[in-house]
Amino acid sequence: MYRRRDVERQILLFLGMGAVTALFLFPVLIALGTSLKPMDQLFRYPPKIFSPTISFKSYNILLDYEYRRYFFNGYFIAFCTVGLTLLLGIMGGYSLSRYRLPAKRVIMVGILCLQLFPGAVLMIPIFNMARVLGLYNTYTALIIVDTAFVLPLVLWVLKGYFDMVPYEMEESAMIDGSGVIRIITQIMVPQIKPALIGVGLLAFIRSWNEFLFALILSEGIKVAPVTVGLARLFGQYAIDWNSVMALTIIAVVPLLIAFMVLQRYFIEGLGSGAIKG
Amino acid sequence: MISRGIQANKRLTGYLLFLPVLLFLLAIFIFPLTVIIKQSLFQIEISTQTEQFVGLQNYITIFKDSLFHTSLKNAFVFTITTIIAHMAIGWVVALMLSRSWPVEGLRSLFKSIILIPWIFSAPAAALIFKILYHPQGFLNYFTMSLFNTRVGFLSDPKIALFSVLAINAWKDFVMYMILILGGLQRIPDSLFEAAKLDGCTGIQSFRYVTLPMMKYLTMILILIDFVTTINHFDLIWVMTKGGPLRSTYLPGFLIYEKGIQRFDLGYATSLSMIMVLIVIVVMGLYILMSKESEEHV
Repeated sequence: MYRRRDVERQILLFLGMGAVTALFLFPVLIALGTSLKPMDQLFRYPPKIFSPTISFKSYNILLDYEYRRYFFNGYFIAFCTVGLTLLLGIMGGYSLSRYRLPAKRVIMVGILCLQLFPGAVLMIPIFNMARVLGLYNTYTALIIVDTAFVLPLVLWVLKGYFDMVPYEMEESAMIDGSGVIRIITQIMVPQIKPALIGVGLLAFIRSWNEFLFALILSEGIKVAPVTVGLARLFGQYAIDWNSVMALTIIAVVPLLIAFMVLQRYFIEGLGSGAIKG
Repeated sequence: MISRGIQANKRLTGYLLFLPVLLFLLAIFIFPLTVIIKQSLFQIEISTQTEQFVGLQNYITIFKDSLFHTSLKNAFVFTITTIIAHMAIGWVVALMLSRSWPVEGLRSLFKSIILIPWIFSAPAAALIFKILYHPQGFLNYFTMSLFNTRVGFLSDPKIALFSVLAINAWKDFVMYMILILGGLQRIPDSLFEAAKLDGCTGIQSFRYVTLPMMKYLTMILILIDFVTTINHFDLIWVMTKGGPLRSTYLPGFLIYEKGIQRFDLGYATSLSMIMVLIVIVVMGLYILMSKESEEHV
């Protein structure tokens, strides 16, 4: 049996969270509603979230080569970023956890600071470096930059998780004569799989949503990801708002699904690793 | 002898594993930083490929530039109000979610749904709010029906900065909420039980248990938010490009305009350097705080 106090508290909490959630999801509903409106019902007064007739016509924008290209670029860059981040994160996290590196404390504090380093102050030298190295308007440049800005946090989180794996597991493998690569891939990686999923998801979301460097390092539609494609819509005089909202919905749905399925790992990994200095 | 050989070998493996990571970080962060420092002291002529040492001349130019003053003032207003918004929403939501809910499933449901705004990219969020702020959009419909007046959310220079602030609060409070929630859940239950035995009411145990336990975490979050927001770029740039009348113009836009669009490298790198110095000061505080919080928790 619930006590009366419990019931009251449940109702209060429910109403409170319900109100906050409704407020914060209102813009999302607007986006969804607008994407489903036929052209002639876009800015009716008084405004409605959903129009009486629903049309999926705006989603035809995906048939447009330009937008398909943005999506392809976005996925390609994000998946490569995840791969490179995990590779470097595992190498770095493992060596920071298991080896006596010189000036390790300084390195750890340095990485902690880099985690906060804002991209905006580095845009000029990175832009020029990319030009000089011939990496301007290439996937490589965007993958490298996206990886760099997520890597410090990933190193911290993964080092913490490697620290929690007991030494005994590696020692017995070492006595069997396994090399370090074997130890990492066969013993350590399976042990910290939840953390790897968490930081992989973080790297994907950060890369998929990265805008500043995608803006300054890309031109045309060759490598520009979805964020740049969406931002370019702002410059146009006549905007098909329903198509634009269809694009934002399409852009967010894959992330939403991945996030809902994997968020357990994400919150655990971040909650324990991100702040702990 | 053999074991020393293994030791040396082991150390070498460690270096080899860490070296690529180190080089990567040096190439993307440290090398560009040295470039900024150097270029900020030169007058660089892109067309003739010449550079001339000018000392602190670029910095003096910036400090005399009224556009710099405007952008810095906007950045501070934007940053401080953003921090207040993030912390207020983050704390309220985290407190509600940290309580034990009699129906546990409801809590996890809310906890997942409330994260949704964070997944939107800055340009996507900007486009969505452009509809909300539209002269014939929802918010103007509300102000029309309630106060019989229209608000130029993005066209009124007095309001625009706060309109974009609302988007930033909507989108990014999630990170802070998760971290505050994590902190709240790490407070040992025994402390609350002890407080209850001592006769504390709910509000008193919040005041004497929760707040002191959360002090350092909150301060660290404020510092993190400060560094991130003072160098904000994406959302506002997409939304307003700094307008109307430069009322949402930020230092990041000035760096972009001077460095990328006009190739005035001296100005852009000196301004970057000024922003780096602000970041370094805050990071110093951050390191001190992390150390102290380690000692206290």
